[in-house]
Amino acid sequence: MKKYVTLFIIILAVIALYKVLIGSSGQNLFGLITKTQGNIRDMIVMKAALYREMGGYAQIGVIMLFSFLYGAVHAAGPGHNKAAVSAYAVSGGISGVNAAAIGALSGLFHGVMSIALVFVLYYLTKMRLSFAIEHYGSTVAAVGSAGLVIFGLYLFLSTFRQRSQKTERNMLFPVIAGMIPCPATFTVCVFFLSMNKPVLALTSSMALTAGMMVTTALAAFAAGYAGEGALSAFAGRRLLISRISALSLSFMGFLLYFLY
Amino acid sequence: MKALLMLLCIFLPALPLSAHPHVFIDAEVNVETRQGRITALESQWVFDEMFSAMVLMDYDTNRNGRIDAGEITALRKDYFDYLGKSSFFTFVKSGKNTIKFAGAVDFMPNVTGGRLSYVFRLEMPQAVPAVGADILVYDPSYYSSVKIIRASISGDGGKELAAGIGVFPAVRYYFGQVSPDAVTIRNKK
Repeated sequence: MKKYVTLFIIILAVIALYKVLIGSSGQNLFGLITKTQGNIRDMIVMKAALYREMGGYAQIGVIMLFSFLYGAVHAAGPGHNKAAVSAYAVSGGISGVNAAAIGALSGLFHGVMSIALVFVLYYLTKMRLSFAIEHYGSTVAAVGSAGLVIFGLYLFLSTFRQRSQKTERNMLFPVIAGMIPCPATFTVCVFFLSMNKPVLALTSSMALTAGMMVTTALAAFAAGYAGEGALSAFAGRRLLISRISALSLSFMGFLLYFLY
Repeated sequence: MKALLMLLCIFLPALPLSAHPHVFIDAEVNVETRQGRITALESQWVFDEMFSAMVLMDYDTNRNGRIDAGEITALRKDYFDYLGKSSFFTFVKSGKNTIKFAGAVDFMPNVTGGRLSYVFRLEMPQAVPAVGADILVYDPSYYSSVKIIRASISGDGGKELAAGIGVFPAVRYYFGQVSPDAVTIRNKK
C-alpha cells in the first residue's frame, strides 16, 4: 500500500514539475532550450564568417566546439530518441550503462543518417537540395517511425514469451530509432556546403552529432538506472511495466509518423 | 529515488517527438486600417542565416547573391505558396473569431547581409474592428520559430491606435508547450 501511495505522490510531483517547467511560454525550460539553440546557431554563423575571411585551424576548432554544443542543446529538446530509448531500456530492464551505450548509438545513427542523406543528394542528384532533403528525409523518417511501431509491438509480444533482451535487439534498436534524420544536422551540413566547404560540413555535423550522442546517452543512462530500480522495487509488476514501456515505444513511433 | 528518476525520464522527455524549431524568423507586421477596421496586413519575415544559405544555394541559380525575377517563381512555388495551408503563419483574433488567410499577394523575396527575407501582403477576408484585435504570427508545427520584432499601424488609424507586441498566452500550440507572439491593437489614450 505504502509503495502505491509513494508512486501516486511521485506521479503528482512529476505532473506539478511538468506544469512548472512547461507552464508559460517563452519563460519555461523549453523556451530556454529554443533560445539557446538560436544563440549557438548565430555563433556558428559568426565563426563561419570569420573562418571564411581568416581561415585557420583555430576557427575550425571553435566551429566544431559550437556545433557540439548546438547538438547537445538541440537533443535536450524533444524529438531525439530520449523517450524512445528510455522506454526501450525500461521495457528490457537494461542497465544504465548499457542504456547509455544504446542512447549514444541511436544519437550517432540519427546524425550520420542526416549527413549521409545530404552528401548523397548533394553529389549524386541534381535536385534542389533543400527540396530533396525534405522529400527523402520525410520518406526515411516514415520508415523509421514505422520501424519503431513494429519494434515496440515486437518487444510487447516478447514479454509474453518472457524472452530476455538479446544483444542483437540492442544493436537493432539504435539503427531503427536513428533512421529518422535530424533536420538540425541537415541545416548545419548544408550551410557549410553552401560555402563550398565540404570537409567543414562533415566535421561540424559530426561534432553536432557527438553533442547529440552525449545528451541522449545521459538521458538513457538515467532511464536505465532508474528503470532497474523501478523494476526491482515493483518486482510483482515487472512484466506490466515492461509491457507498458514497449507499447509506449510503439506509440511514440506512431506519433512521430504523423508529426514529421 | 530510482523510481522518481524513472518517471522523470519517461514523462519529461516524452513530449512531442519531432525536434523543433529548425528555422528562426524575425517578423515585422504592419497593420493597415481604414475607418477603425483592419483591412490588410503587410508582413516582412527575415530568416536566419543557415536557412537562408540553404535556400539560396538552391534558388539563387546565377549565384549573384539575390533572388532575381526569374528565380522568384520557383522559390515562391516551393517555399511560400504552401504556407497558405498554415494561413501564412498569421491569425487575426477578433473577439471569439479567428481569421485565417488562404492567399497572399505582392510576394517579394530579398537578400540582405546573407539573410533571406520575404515581404508579402495579406488581405483581410472581412475587415474587423482594429481596437481589441490581436494578430498572432506563429508556425503551428513549430518547425519555424517566429519572433515579432516590430509592429506598426498605417492608414487612418495610425494616429489614434497603438500596436504592442507580446506573448499571447490564451493560445498554446506544439502540444501546449509554446504560446505565440502577437501584435495587440489598442487605443493610444
